[in-house]
Amino acid sequence: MSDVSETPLPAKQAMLRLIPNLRAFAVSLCGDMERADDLVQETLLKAWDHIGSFQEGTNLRAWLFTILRNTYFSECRRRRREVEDDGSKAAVLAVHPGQQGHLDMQDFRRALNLLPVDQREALVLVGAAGFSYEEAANISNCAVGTIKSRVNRARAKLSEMLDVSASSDFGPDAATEAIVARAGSGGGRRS
Amino acid sequence: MRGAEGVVVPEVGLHCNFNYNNKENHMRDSNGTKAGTCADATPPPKSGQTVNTHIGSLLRQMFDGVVHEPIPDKIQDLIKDLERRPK
Repeated sequence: MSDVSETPLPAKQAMLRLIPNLRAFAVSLCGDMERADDLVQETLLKAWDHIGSFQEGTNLRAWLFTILRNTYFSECRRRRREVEDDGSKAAVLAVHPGQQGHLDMQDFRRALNLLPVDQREALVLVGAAGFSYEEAANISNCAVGTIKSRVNRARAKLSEMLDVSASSDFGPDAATEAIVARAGSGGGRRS
Repeated sequence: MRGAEGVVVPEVGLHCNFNYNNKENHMRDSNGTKAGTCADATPPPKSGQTVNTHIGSLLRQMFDGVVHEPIPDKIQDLIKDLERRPK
Protein backbone atom coordinates (compact mmCIF):
# COMPACT_ATOMS: atom_id res chain seq x y z
CA MET A 1 0.00 0.00 0.00
CA SER A 2 1.16 3.50 -0.75
CA ASP A 3 2.92 5.28 2.08
CA VAL A 4 0.96 8.36 1.08
CA SER A 5 -2.28 7.01 2.56
CA GLU A 6 -0.55 6.31 5.86
CA THR A 7 0.92 9.76 6.28
CA PRO A 8 -0.55 11.32 9.42
CA LEU A 9 -1.70 14.46 7.67
CA PRO A 10 -5.04 16.16 8.04
CA ALA A 11 -7.44 14.36 5.71
CA LYS A 12 -7.72 17.24 3.26
CA GLN A 13 -3.96 17.54 2.83
CA ALA A 14 -3.60 13.79 2.50
CA MET A 15 -6.36 13.85 -0.08
CA LEU A 16 -4.45 16.27 -2.28
CA ARG A 17 -1.41 14.05 -2.15
CA LEU A 18 -3.47 11.20 -3.53
CA ILE A 19 -4.45 13.06 -6.70
CA PRO A 20 -1.83 11.31 -8.89
CA ASN A 21 -3.15 7.92 -7.79
CA LEU A 22 -6.71 9.01 -8.44
CA ARG A 23 -5.77 10.16 -11.95
CA ALA A 24 -4.10 6.86 -12.71
CA PHE A 25 -7.14 4.92 -11.54
CA ALA A 26 -9.50 7.22 -13.44
CA VAL A 27 -7.64 6.88 -16.72
CA SER A 28 -7.50 3.12 -16.30
CA LEU A 29 -11.25 3.06 -15.85
CA CYS A 30 -12.33 5.37 -18.63
CA GLY A 31 -9.34 5.16 -21.00
CA ASP A 32 -9.36 8.87 -21.70
CA MET A 33 -7.13 11.40 -19.97
CA GLU A 34 -9.42 14.37 -20.33
CA ARG A 35 -12.40 12.50 -19.00
CA ALA A 36 -10.20 11.09 -16.24
CA ASP A 37 -9.27 14.60 -15.11
CA ASP A 38 -12.94 15.59 -15.05
CA LEU A 39 -13.64 12.53 -12.94
CA VAL A 40 -10.84 13.42 -10.53
CA GLN A 41 -12.15 16.97 -10.22
CA GLU A 42 -15.64 15.72 -9.46
CA THR A 43 -14.26 13.22 -6.96
CA LEU A 44 -12.25 15.92 -5.18
CA LEU A 45 -15.26 18.20 -4.96
CA LYS A 46 -17.43 15.45 -3.50
CA ALA A 47 -14.74 14.28 -1.11
CA TRP A 48 -13.98 17.83 0.04
CA ASP A 49 -17.64 18.53 0.69
CA HIS A 50 -18.15 15.24 2.53
CA ILE A 51 -14.85 15.01 4.34
CA GLY A 52 -16.83 14.92 7.58
CA SER A 53 -18.16 11.50 6.67
CA PHE A 54 -14.64 10.10 6.35
CA GLN A 55 -13.61 8.27 9.49
CA GLU A 56 -10.10 9.26 10.57
CA GLY A 57 -7.84 6.25 10.85
CA THR A 58 -9.54 4.36 8.03
CA ASN A 59 -8.19 4.05 4.52
CA LEU A 60 -8.46 7.45 2.86
CA ARG A 61 -7.10 6.12 -0.42
CA ALA A 62 -9.77 3.43 -0.60
CA TRP A 63 -12.43 5.99 0.34
CA LEU A 64 -11.37 8.29 -2.52
CA PHE A 65 -11.16 5.42 -5.00
CA THR A 66 -14.68 4.39 -4.00
CA ILE A 67 -16.01 7.90 -4.61
CA LEU A 68 -14.26 8.03 -7.97
CA ARG A 69 -15.55 4.68 -9.21
CA ASN A 70 -19.09 5.44 -8.01
CA THR A 71 -18.93 8.79 -9.79
CA TYR A 72 -17.71 7.06 -12.94
CA PHE A 73 -20.45 4.43 -12.94
CA SER A 74 -23.16 6.99 -12.16
CA GLU A 75 -21.95 9.08 -15.04
CA CYS A 76 -21.89 6.07 -17.34
CA ARG A 77 -25.44 5.18 -16.41
CA ARG A 78 -26.44 8.75 -17.06
CA ARG A 79 -24.77 8.87 -20.41
CA ARG A 80 -25.84 5.33 -21.26
CA ARG A 81 -22.35 4.52 -22.39
CA GLU A 82 -21.41 1.03 -23.34
CA VAL A 83 -20.14 -0.05 -19.96
CA GLU A 84 -22.55 -2.95 -19.90
CA ASP A 85 -20.47 -4.64 -22.57
CA ASP A 86 -20.31 -8.33 -21.81
CA GLY A 87 -16.96 -8.83 -23.41
CA SER A 88 -18.31 -9.51 -26.89
CA LYS A 89 -16.23 -6.64 -28.23
CA ALA A 90 -13.19 -8.29 -26.79
CA ALA A 91 -14.10 -11.61 -28.34
CA VAL A 92 -14.32 -10.07 -31.79
CA LEU A 93 -11.31 -7.81 -31.60
CA ALA A 94 -7.98 -9.36 -30.97
CA VAL A 95 -5.09 -7.03 -30.39
CA HIS A 96 -1.99 -8.45 -31.87
CA PRO A 97 1.42 -7.27 -30.84
CA GLY A 98 2.48 -4.31 -32.90
CA GLN A 99 6.05 -5.44 -33.14
CA GLN A 100 7.46 -8.84 -33.64
CA GLY A 101 7.02 -10.83 -30.47
CA HIS A 102 6.78 -7.83 -28.19
CA LEU A 103 3.82 -6.33 -26.48
CA ASP A 104 4.17 -2.61 -26.38
CA MET A 105 2.27 -0.28 -24.13
CA GLN A 106 -0.05 0.88 -26.87
CA ASP A 107 -1.20 -2.68 -27.60
CA PHE A 108 -1.68 -3.21 -23.91
CA ARG A 109 -3.77 -0.07 -23.39
CA ARG A 110 -6.00 -0.98 -26.32
CA ALA A 111 -6.52 -4.47 -24.98
CA LEU A 112 -7.19 -3.20 -21.46
CA ASN A 113 -9.83 -0.80 -22.74
CA LEU A 114 -11.61 -3.66 -24.46
CA LEU A 115 -12.13 -5.54 -21.21
CA PRO A 116 -15.52 -5.30 -19.54
CA VAL A 117 -15.24 -2.42 -17.10
CA ASP A 118 -15.82 -4.51 -13.98
CA GLN A 119 -12.89 -6.75 -14.91
CA ARG A 120 -10.70 -3.80 -15.82
CA GLU A 121 -11.50 -2.14 -12.51
CA ALA A 122 -10.67 -5.29 -10.51
CA LEU A 123 -7.42 -5.84 -12.38
CA VAL A 124 -6.27 -2.25 -11.92
CA LEU A 125 -7.19 -2.10 -8.23
CA VAL A 126 -5.36 -5.32 -7.40
CA GLY A 127 -2.66 -5.46 -10.05
CA ALA A 128 -1.66 -1.81 -10.30
CA ALA A 129 -3.01 0.22 -7.39
CA GLY A 130 -1.83 -2.37 -4.88
CA PHE A 131 -5.08 -2.96 -3.02
CA SER A 132 -5.70 -6.33 -1.42
CA TYR A 133 -8.58 -8.44 -2.73
CA GLU A 134 -10.55 -7.47 0.38
CA GLU A 135 -9.95 -3.75 -0.12
CA ALA A 136 -10.79 -4.01 -3.81
CA ALA A 137 -14.01 -5.85 -2.94
CA ASN A 138 -14.98 -3.05 -0.54
CA ILE A 139 -14.24 -0.38 -3.14
CA SER A 140 -16.22 -2.23 -5.81
CA ASN A 141 -18.96 -3.16 -3.37
CA CYS A 142 -18.87 -6.87 -4.14
CA ALA A 143 -17.66 -10.13 -2.63
CA VAL A 144 -13.97 -11.02 -2.42
CA GLY A 145 -14.60 -14.09 -4.57
CA THR A 146 -16.14 -11.89 -7.24
CA ILE A 147 -13.04 -9.70 -7.34
CA LYS A 148 -10.77 -12.75 -7.60
CA SER A 149 -12.84 -14.14 -10.40
CA ARG A 150 -12.88 -10.81 -12.25
CA VAL A 151 -9.10 -10.50 -11.96
CA ASN A 152 -8.62 -14.02 -13.30
CA ARG A 153 -11.01 -13.48 -16.16
CA ALA A 154 -9.36 -10.14 -16.97
CA ARG A 155 -5.93 -11.75 -17.11
CA ALA A 156 -7.19 -14.59 -19.27
CA LYS A 157 -8.94 -12.22 -21.67
CA LEU A 158 -5.91 -9.97 -21.91
CA SER A 159 -3.72 -12.96 -22.71
CA GLU A 160 -6.20 -14.03 -25.34
CA MET A 161 -6.54 -10.58 -26.87
CA LEU A 162 -2.82 -10.00 -26.88
CA ASP A 163 -2.39 -13.48 -28.24
CA VAL A 164 0.32 -14.28 -25.72
CA SER A 165 -0.83 -17.65 -24.49
CA ALA A 166 1.89 -19.52 -26.27
CA SER A 167 5.59 -19.48 -25.60
CA SER A 168 6.18 -18.34 -29.16
CA ASP A 169 4.69 -14.98 -28.25
CA PHE A 170 7.94 -14.02 -26.65
CA GLY A 171 9.80 -14.81 -29.82
CA PRO A 172 8.93 -14.36 -33.50
CA ASP A 173 5.20 -14.24 -34.27
CA ALA A 174 3.42 -16.82 -36.43
CA ALA A 175 3.68 -14.77 -39.63
CA THR A 176 7.39 -14.27 -39.18
CA GLU A 177 7.92 -17.92 -38.40
CA ALA A 178 6.03 -18.91 -41.56
CA ILE A 179 8.21 -16.62 -43.66
CA VAL A 180 11.35 -17.95 -42.03
CA ALA A 181 10.18 -21.53 -42.56
CA ARG A 182 9.40 -20.84 -46.22
CA ALA A 183 12.80 -19.24 -46.70
CA GLY A 184 14.35 -22.23 -44.94
CA SER A 185 12.62 -24.80 -47.18
CA GLY A 186 13.93 -22.96 -50.23
CA GLY A 187 17.49 -23.56 -49.02
CA GLY A 188 19.59 -21.44 -46.71
CA ARG A 189 17.94 -22.78 -43.54
CA ARG A 190 18.92 -20.94 -40.42
CA SER A 191 20.78 -22.94 -37.84
CA MET B 1 18.39 -14.19 -11.40
CA ARG B 2 20.01 -15.31 -14.63
CA GLY B 3 18.85 -17.85 -17.17
CA ALA B 4 20.99 -20.61 -18.58
CA GLU B 5 22.24 -18.31 -21.29
CA GLY B 6 22.92 -15.39 -19.04
CA VAL B 7 19.63 -13.66 -19.72
CA VAL B 8 18.05 -11.92 -16.76
CA VAL B 9 14.62 -13.35 -16.10
CA PRO B 10 11.97 -12.19 -13.64
CA GLU B 11 12.19 -13.73 -10.18
CA VAL B 12 8.54 -14.57 -9.87
CA GLY B 13 7.49 -18.06 -10.84
CA LEU B 14 10.28 -18.79 -13.25
CA HIS B 15 12.56 -21.77 -13.26
CA CYS B 16 16.13 -20.58 -12.98
CA ASN B 17 17.20 -22.50 -16.06
CA PHE B 18 14.53 -20.93 -18.21
CA ASN B 19 15.06 -18.37 -20.90
CA TYR B 20 11.76 -17.22 -22.35
CA ASN B 21 13.46 -15.48 -25.22
CA ASN B 22 14.48 -18.85 -26.53
CA LYS B 23 11.54 -20.87 -27.74
CA GLU B 24 13.51 -24.02 -28.33
CA ASN B 25 14.94 -23.90 -24.85
CA HIS B 26 11.48 -23.31 -23.40
CA MET B 27 9.95 -26.26 -25.23
CA ARG B 28 12.67 -28.60 -24.17
CA ASP B 29 12.26 -27.49 -20.60
CA SER B 30 8.49 -27.88 -20.74
CA ASN B 31 8.83 -31.41 -22.03
CA GLY B 32 11.23 -32.22 -19.24
CA THR B 33 13.86 -33.48 -21.59
CA LYS B 34 16.42 -30.97 -20.56
CA ALA B 35 17.77 -31.25 -17.06
CA GLY B 36 17.66 -28.17 -14.89
CA THR B 37 20.72 -26.89 -13.15
CA CYS B 38 19.08 -25.57 -10.01
CA ALA B 39 19.80 -27.32 -6.80
CA ASP B 40 16.19 -26.92 -5.66
CA ALA B 41 14.88 -28.27 -9.00
CA THR B 42 11.69 -26.21 -9.08
CA PRO B 43 9.17 -27.28 -11.69
CA PRO B 44 9.53 -25.78 -15.15
CA PRO B 45 7.53 -22.62 -15.74
CA LYS B 46 4.13 -22.57 -17.36
CA SER B 47 3.75 -20.01 -20.08
CA GLY B 48 0.71 -18.67 -18.18
CA GLN B 49 2.95 -17.59 -15.32
CA THR B 50 5.19 -15.71 -17.71
CA VAL B 51 2.20 -14.08 -19.36
CA ASN B 52 0.74 -13.00 -16.01
CA THR B 53 4.08 -11.56 -14.97
CA HIS B 54 4.29 -9.67 -18.22
CA ILE B 55 0.72 -8.37 -17.98
CA GLY B 56 1.31 -7.31 -14.37
CA SER B 57 4.44 -5.46 -15.35
CA LEU B 58 2.72 -3.57 -18.19
CA LEU B 59 -0.20 -2.74 -15.92
CA ARG B 60 2.04 -1.25 -13.24
CA GLN B 61 4.07 0.61 -15.85
CA MET B 62 0.90 2.15 -17.24
CA PHE B 63 -0.42 3.12 -13.79
CA ASP B 64 2.89 4.48 -12.53
CA GLY B 65 3.34 6.45 -15.74
CA VAL B 66 0.23 8.47 -14.91
CA VAL B 67 1.11 8.73 -11.20
CA HIS B 68 4.38 10.42 -12.11
CA GLU B 69 2.84 12.90 -14.53
CA PRO B 70 2.54 16.50 -13.33
CA ILE B 71 -0.92 17.46 -12.09
CA PRO B 72 -2.72 19.37 -14.86
CA ASP B 73 -3.51 23.05 -14.46
CA LYS B 74 -7.26 22.59 -14.20
CA ILE B 75 -6.84 20.33 -11.17
CA GLN B 76 -4.27 22.71 -9.65
CA ASP B 77 -6.82 25.51 -10.05
CA LEU B 78 -9.48 23.40 -8.38
CA ILE B 79 -7.17 22.70 -5.45
CA LYS B 80 -6.58 26.42 -5.01
CA ASP B 81 -10.33 27.03 -5.06
CA LEU B 82 -10.94 24.27 -2.55
CA GLU B 83 -8.28 25.61 -0.21
CA ARG B 84 -9.78 29.08 -0.36
CA ARG B 85 -13.18 27.81 0.69
CA PRO B 86 -14.28 28.76 4.18
CA LYS B 87 -13.65 25.99 6.68
